[in-house]
Amino acid sequence: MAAESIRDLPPRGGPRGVTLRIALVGGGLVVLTMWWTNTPASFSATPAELTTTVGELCGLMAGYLICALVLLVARVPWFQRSVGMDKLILWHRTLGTTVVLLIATHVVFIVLGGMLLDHATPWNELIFTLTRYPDMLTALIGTIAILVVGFTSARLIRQRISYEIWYVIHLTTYAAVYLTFLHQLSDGAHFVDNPINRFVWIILYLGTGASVICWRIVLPSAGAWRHRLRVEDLTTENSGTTSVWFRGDHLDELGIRAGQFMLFRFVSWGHLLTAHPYSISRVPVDGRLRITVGALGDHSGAVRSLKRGTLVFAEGPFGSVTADRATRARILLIAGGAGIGPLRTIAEELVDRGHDVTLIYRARSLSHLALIEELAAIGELVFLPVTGRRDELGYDPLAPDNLSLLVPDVRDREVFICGPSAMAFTAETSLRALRVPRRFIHREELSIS
Amino acid sequence: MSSRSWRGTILFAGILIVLGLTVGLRLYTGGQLDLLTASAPDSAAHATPPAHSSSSPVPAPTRAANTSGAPPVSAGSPPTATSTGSANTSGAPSAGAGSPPAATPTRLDGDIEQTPFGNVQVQVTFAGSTMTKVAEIQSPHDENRSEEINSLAEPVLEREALSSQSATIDTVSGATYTSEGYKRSLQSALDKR
Repeated sequence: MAAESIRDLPPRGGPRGVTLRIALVGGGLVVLTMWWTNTPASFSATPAELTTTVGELCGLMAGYLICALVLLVARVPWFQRSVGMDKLILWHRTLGTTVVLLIATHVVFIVLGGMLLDHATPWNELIFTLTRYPDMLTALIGTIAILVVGFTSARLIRQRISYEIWYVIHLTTYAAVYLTFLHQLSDGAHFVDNPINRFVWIILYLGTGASVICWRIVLPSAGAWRHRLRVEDLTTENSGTTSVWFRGDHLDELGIRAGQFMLFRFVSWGHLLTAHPYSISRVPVDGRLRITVGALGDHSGAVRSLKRGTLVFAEGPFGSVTADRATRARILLIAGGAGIGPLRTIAEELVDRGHDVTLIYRARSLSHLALIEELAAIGELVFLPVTGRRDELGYDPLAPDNLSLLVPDVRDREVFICGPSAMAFTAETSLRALRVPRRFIHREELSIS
Repeated sequence: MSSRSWRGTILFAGILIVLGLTVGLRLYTGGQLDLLTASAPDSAAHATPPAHSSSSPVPAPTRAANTSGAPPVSAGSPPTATSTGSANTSGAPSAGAGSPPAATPTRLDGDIEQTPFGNVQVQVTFAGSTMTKVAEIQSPHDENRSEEINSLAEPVLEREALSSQSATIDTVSGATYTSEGYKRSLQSALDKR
């Protein structure tokens, strides 16, 4: 197959999501304009007024960006198509840090500005601000919730708590955004007396709320009703991996491609509260669909104890790393852990399309390898299982030298990586060291949080 | 991992710098922008040039006509009275060249406006049709802090009111409610004329 004929998606690292970036920056400029037009030209440079104004500006910006933050993960179809779920999550994480810091700065500067004004102690000033302005107590609760959400999402903390707890804490964001919204309108110097700014702001928040209700609640529920997905069977692949088979109606309408994932919510005790991303390891055929799950977290382990017939809400499909990304004739796939699920389907599709495919499969031990028979059944595939922990082996098989020994022509290949983020990062770094151009490296992480 | 670890913090720092630059630019260009907006006749009332009250020519003539007992002249015919207006720009109480009877200052009290921090009421002094002074008869004083805020906000508000010759003035940062009360009280005083 000619390499040029399959180039319908922009390669990773290329111009993905440029329009959305421009829109985000444009929104920020609108916020600055709102502040500019509503600030008296004679606004003086006294320390108090200057500090308060910077505080207000930080608050305005945070109020805008928190909507952007919610919208990025509101499953807006246009964002999903033009940017891709993994990158949206990445942006959400980056922007989340920014918003939490902006909110903290907003609080500090507003209190500091008041202190400069009436020479109060910080504590007295904080109490005064909270008690004497309207809607400040709700704002306080909302701010604390947002700070807790930010704190539990920080890298170091996030690694130490389970996905389930993190998810439930993260859900409080919606309430927090609403609680903080009230004080923006009733205390904001740029809203109290400016109907245009008020209008713009209310539209922004209503639009964000409507998007969440539409794309995160109503449409997924309608989809769940239409497909009525149920657990049909469970297969133990090896000591750490389980496959789950589903049966449902109209599954072909989902348009699931090899390499994509869906968010699954099992209607059973202990599963209902959280939705988990699992890659599709067999695309729907005859109303049957399969995922392959590694025992990564509490929930992944609990998947083994699912009962047959359990109802499932599945959202998606998501993920833009599909076989369509392949633009070179020779392909290298690097799978780790449960990443074998999506890469197996991609391997199958690529081999069918006539690509020359090599698959490296990293696993802790031989007993951790899954789906071996199915991989062997893909005729033309060069399959290289690489087992053993790094400290047992004494070297990293994915280090540049070892990688080029395994796959001598790695520089001429296009690479798909799927696996735990540490492994994916090592693989990508090695490939870059071996001078594989960035646009030929496709990487989608399994983690969503 | 490490390459993207600090992205959020870097973005935050970038945004802070942009915000700081915006505030700085606002401080720096404040006067120039006012000249621009003041040159547009309709927005003259919204412009707030500091101290020098050269923006009064449009509102002044109509009010001069009012106080001298003539039937109200619509604001759409200012050219005839431009000279009167320019004579008034010095802001001195007795400068109403076109209308001698208006030389004695008149005082009007605005309504008492309630704010979460106490009442606001202003008294406006007119020389002829020109607002020459806005004084607060009542101001928020329930706590030291309110007084401090008020003492900072009042001069700014008065300056804006005198230069725009109307109650169309911008809210002062940190004194949102006081500013709102001030504006309403001022408007009620202007309505009484």
